[in-house]
Amino acid sequence: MTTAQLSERERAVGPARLTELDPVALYRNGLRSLVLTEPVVLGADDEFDVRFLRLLREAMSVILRIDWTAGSALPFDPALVCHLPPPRPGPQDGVGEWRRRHRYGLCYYRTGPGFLLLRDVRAEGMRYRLDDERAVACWPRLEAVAHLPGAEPDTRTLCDLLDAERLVVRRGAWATLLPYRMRQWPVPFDAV
Amino acid sequence: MTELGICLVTMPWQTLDLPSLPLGLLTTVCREAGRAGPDNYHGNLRWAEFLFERTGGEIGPADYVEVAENGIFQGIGDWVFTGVLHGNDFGRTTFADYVRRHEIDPGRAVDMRAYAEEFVDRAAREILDNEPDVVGFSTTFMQNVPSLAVAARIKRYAPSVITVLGGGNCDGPMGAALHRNYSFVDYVVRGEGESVFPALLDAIERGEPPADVPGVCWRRGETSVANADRRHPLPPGRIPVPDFDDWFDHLENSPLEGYIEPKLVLESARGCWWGEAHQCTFCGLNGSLMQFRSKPPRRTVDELTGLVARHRTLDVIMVDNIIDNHYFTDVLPELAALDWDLRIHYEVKANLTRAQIEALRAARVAHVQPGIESLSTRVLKIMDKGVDALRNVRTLRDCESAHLSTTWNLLYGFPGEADEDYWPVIDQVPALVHLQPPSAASPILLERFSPNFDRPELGFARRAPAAIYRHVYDLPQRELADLVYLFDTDAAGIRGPVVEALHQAIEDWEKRHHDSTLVRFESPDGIGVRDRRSGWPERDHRIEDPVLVAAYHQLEHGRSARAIRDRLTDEGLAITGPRLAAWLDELDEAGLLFRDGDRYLALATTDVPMRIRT
Repeated sequence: MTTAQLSERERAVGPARLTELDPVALYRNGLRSLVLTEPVVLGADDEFDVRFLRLLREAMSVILRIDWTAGSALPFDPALVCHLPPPRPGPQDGVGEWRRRHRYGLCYYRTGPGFLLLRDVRAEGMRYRLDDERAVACWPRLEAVAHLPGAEPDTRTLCDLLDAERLVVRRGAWATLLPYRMRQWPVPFDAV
Repeated sequence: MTELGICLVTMPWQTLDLPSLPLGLLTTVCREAGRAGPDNYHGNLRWAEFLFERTGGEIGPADYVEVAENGIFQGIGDWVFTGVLHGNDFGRTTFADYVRRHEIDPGRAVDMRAYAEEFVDRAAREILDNEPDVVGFSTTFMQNVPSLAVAARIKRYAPSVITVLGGGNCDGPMGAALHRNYSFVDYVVRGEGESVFPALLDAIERGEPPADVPGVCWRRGETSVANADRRHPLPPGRIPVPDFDDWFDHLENSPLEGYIEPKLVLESARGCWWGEAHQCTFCGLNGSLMQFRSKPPRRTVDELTGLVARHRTLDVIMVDNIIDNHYFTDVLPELAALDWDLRIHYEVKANLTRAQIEALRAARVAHVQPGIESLSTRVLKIMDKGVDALRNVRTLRDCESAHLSTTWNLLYGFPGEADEDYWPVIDQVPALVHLQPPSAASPILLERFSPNFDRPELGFARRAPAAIYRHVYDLPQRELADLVYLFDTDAAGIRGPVVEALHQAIEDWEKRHHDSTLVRFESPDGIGVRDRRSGWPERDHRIEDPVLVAAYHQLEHGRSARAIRDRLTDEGLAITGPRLAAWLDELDEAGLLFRDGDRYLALATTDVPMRIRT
C-alpha cells in the first residue's frame, strides 16, 4: 500500500462546454465532483446565466458536488438561489449571502403519478402540490431551459404561476425551474 | 336486522403523520361485509388540535410528537390521561418520583395532563354525536389509558353503546386482563381483527353472546369470559387494502395541516420468517403470531401504487417486521421502474447482500431498520440473531454507500455475555465513525412474548410488571402481570466500567460521524482509499499491486487470511502467508479493517451520502 494524493472521481471542466454538461448523466457514470477551472462570469448573457443555474440545479439533484468561483457580482437575489451550490468564498456581491443561506433541501420537488410535490423553505416553509394535468405536462419544458417567446401558452402560463412563487428564474427571454428534483435522499432521510 | 352504527377510534399517541393502519383495515373489512360507514374518529389528531387551540399554539404538534416518540418506555403518554381514568391525583406523586429517580425530562406531559379531562369529555361527546351503536378502539403501545378513559366516558353518557377494544395491547392475556378489570369495556378482540371483529359484530347484531368467536373476551353475567385465540393466522390474501380516505379528508381540513406532512402506512407482510425458526431472545414484537405471511408481489405493488396515486403522497412506511426476501427481485425492481420520487421505510434483516441493498436504493427506499443489535458475534449468538458482527458492519458500510439512512440500536445486558465480548468492539469503534452510529446503546428490556419472557431459564427468572405501570394503572400487581407488556427483572450481562466505556464510545461515534468519510475509489491503476475520518490522520492510500487489489476485494466480503489466500489461488494469484499477514497488519494499523476473530472486513465505503446535521 502506498500513500499518495488521489485523483478521485472528479473532473475539471473549462468554460467552453459548461452549460452543455448533464450532471445527472455524469453522476450515473460515476462522477462525484466537478471542478470549474475558470471563474464563472454571470450577468453578461441571459441565456448563459439561466443555463448555468440549470447546471447547478441538476448537480444538486444528484448531489454531484460543484466547485466553482464567481467571476463577477451575482445577478441573482441570493434568497432566490440559495438552495443551489454556492460559489467559493469571494468578495463579489451576493456570494457571502448565498453561502450563509445555503443548505441541503431548501427547495426541491418530487414526482409522483400525475402530480408533483414541492417543498420550499428558502424563506418561510411552503409546500405545494401540483396536480393540474396541463401544468404537470408542461413541467419538463421548464426543467429544461425555456425560450419563452417561442414557448407554448401553457408553458408560459405555468412559468408565470411559478414565477409568482419565486420557483423559476427568468433572465430576459430565458427561464428555467429553480427547485431541483430530489433524486437522492440525504441522511437522515427525514431531515428535509 | 337493524344495521349497526359503528365508530372506529384511534386515540393518542398514534403517530400524527400516519393514518391508523388498524382503522384503515377495519374500515375496509366493514365495507366489504356490506356495512355502512364505519365512522373513523382520529382521536390522536383531535388531541393535538385541541392542545394547539386551547393553548394558543403554545403546546404544538412537536410537543405531541415528543411524548409519542420518546415517552413509551416511561409510560408518559398513558400517564397524561390516567387521572381521567383513575382519579385526578392518581399517579402524580409516583410519576414525580419516577422522573426524579431516573432523571427523565417529561417534556410538556405535565402541562398536557391539565387538559386531559376536558379533551376526554369532548372526545366522548364527539364520538356520540353520530349515535353509534358500537365504538371500537384500536390500542397499541400508549393508547390503552386514553382509550379506556374515553370508553368509560362513553358508557357514562350512553350506557347502551357497546364498547370494544382491540389491537396489539389486547394480544393474549393482556386483552383478558383489560376486559376483566375495566367493566365498561364490553368486548375485547384478541389477535387479528380482520376476521374476529366482523364475527363479533354479527353476533352483536344477532343479539347472541359471541361464545364461538375466537379470541373474544365477553361477559356471561358479571363474569369475564375469554374465548380461546384463533389457532391459524389470517392468510395474506385476506389482509385487506386499508381505506385511509377519512384520515386524509380530516387532515386536509385540520388546523395542523401545515405542520403535518402526511405519509402512507402499509404492510406487505405479517410475522417474522426468521423468528419462526429462531426467535431473537429479546423480541416480543410479533406477539402471539409469529408465522410469516407476505402478500403476493403483484398485490403489494398495486396496493402501494394505488394508494400513492389516490392520496398523492410519496412517503410510505412499510410496517412489516421484516421484508420478504422475494421482494428484492419481485417488488423492488417494479417500484424502481416507476421513476417516482418515493421515500420508503422498510425493516430488514441485517444480512443484506450488496445487490439487495442496491435494489432497496433503486426502489427509493430511503430508510432501513436492520436488526443490527450488536457488533459482537458472541453476543449475537446469545440472542440467536442469525448474523455475525462482520456481516452487521458490512451492512452498515454498504447502506452508507447506498445513501440509506440506517436506524439501529446497540443492545447489551444478555445473560452469559462478558466484558471480553465488548472490549474488542469498543476498541474498534473509532474506525467505524464514518458509518451511521446506533441511536443508542441500551440494556435489553424484558418484553412479553419474547423467549426471554417465555423461558425463565434463559436468565430472567425474577420478573415483575415494570415500575412505569405504577403511575399508569391503579391495579394490583397480579393483574398488571397479565395486562402489561414490559417487565422489570434482574440486570444481566455486562456492568460497570465496560458499560461506561461502551456508552462513551457510542457518544464519540455520534459526535464524529458527521465529519467522517472513508471512501475507496477504483481506477485502472488499482484502488484508492481516502481517509477523512475524525480522529484519524488525513491520508490517501493507494493499492496498485494486482494481487493486493484482488485481496482487498476479498476483504470487502469479510474473510480470514487463509480464506483470502484460497480465493486468490482460485483466481490464479499467489501471495505468501507472511506477506499477506504484514499487509493486513498495515491496513489494520491504519484503521481500514474491522476484525472479528480471525476474519477481517474492509471498512471503506464506495460513496458518501449527503449528510445533514440534525
